[in-house]
Amino acid sequence: MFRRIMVFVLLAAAVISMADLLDEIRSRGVLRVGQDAGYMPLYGSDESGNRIGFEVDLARKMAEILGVKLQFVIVNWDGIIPALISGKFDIIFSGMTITPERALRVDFTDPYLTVGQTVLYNTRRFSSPPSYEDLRNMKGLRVTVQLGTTGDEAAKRLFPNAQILRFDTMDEAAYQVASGKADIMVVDSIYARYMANKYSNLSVTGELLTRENLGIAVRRGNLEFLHWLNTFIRWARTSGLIEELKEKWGVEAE
Amino acid sequence: MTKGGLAEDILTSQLLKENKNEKLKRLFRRSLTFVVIVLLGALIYLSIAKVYPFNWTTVLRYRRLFITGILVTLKLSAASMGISLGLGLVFAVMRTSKMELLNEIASLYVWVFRNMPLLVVILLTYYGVGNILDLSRFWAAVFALSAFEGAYMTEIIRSGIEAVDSGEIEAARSLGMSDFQIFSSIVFLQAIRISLPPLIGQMISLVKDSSLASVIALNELTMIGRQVGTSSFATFESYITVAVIYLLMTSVLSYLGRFLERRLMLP
Repeated sequence: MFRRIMVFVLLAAAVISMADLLDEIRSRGVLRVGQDAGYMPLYGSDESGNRIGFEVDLARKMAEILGVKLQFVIVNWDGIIPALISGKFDIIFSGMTITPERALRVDFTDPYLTVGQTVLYNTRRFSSPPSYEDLRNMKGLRVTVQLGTTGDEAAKRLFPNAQILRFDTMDEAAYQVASGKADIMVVDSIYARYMANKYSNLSVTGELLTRENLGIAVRRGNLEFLHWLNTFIRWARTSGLIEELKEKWGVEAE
Repeated sequence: MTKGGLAEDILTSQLLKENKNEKLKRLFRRSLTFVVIVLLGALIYLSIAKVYPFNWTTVLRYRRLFITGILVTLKLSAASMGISLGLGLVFAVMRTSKMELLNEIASLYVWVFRNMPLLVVILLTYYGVGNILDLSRFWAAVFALSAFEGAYMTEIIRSGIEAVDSGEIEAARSLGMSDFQIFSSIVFLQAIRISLPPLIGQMISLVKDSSLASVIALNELTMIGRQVGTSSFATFESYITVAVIYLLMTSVLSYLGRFLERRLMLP
């Protein structure tokens, strides 16, 4: 008897684990989206704590089509991939650059935006936009980044002589530059331009140090769900939804 | 040689033998525990390795980063230990002094820093005080840690001072010693000896608490661990390394503490 129960339980477990994430989300009735604190205008929180931004609107649309509720799970950026793998949420929709290293641990969708790393600087520190060459040769340059981002990687590679200061959130890293505690921040162009528009003492050098594609990440092996997400992204591109949301949130990217 | 003497000799030799046996037994028990712990650890490790492919070579490639992290943590801890001990001594003396004002100031200090989270103290020091005084990250962390741990040390040393036998103080007074003489030659050293074990405990806390300095982007051990974790994707390995290094550092401290306690044994 006990054996039979065990066999049944194991079979049931096997069937459940075979069901794709897409079915699981629909039967659960909730799509859980993993993000970190903020990357405006892609995502962030308004004064009353509601999630807002370009990606938040896209995720809303996604949930609407799936016919499920939307739930955001906020974690630290350096723990976002481990959190996805351990099942804290279903997707990382958090302005994540597609890199081959990350793709060893998670599966990526097609890109929905193309950005690049750029330099955010304080206009009181530099009266004219500093060129990459100038910055590279500066002794003791203090560069802030968000821990574990592609900006972190780019800064390490592009400014080997600089002192790199790593913060949990983008806003903390940008604040260091705004308050003169650091010289520049290496960050995605979308965020840099948004901050430069918002604060008068911040500006962007304009030159892109890298070019990167942003994609949605899912746990490896959920091919059906991955396929659905790709369909969604292609549709959002052709239907003009992405263009419309870029306009709405002032996203300056391709 | 009398008969009694012989019996005594036999008895002592037997005692020595038993003592030796006891030592051997203890050694055996200890090594048995050690083997069991190692086996258990290996079992846990291997069962995790089944689902999580450990990759130690990537962590090994970052060894130089880990070394800089260890050095920053050591420097941060050492500087904070010195300053917090100084603060603890000064405020403990104030706290036990008969002058009302000094007593109140010391109480205020202890009240403020024992009732605030260390993280908030660090942020306040770096973004608040640091902005005005133009403090570097490192010194902001040192001052925050020192002020915070100093409050605990104040209370530890104060209780040490109060634990000194009042009879000794009365005796000294009746011998005509001044208050300062009494404090410096009778109370102080005894108080330090009494508060040594909890002080060492507080130092160990300090080393562990120094990890919070990573919030202001100080490159100490925890920050390095997070950085290696994100750039190598070997998160688990990186944090295990960090944990083991902290364990080693604090173990050295507690060993040192035990050694000091034995050297300064109370009569």
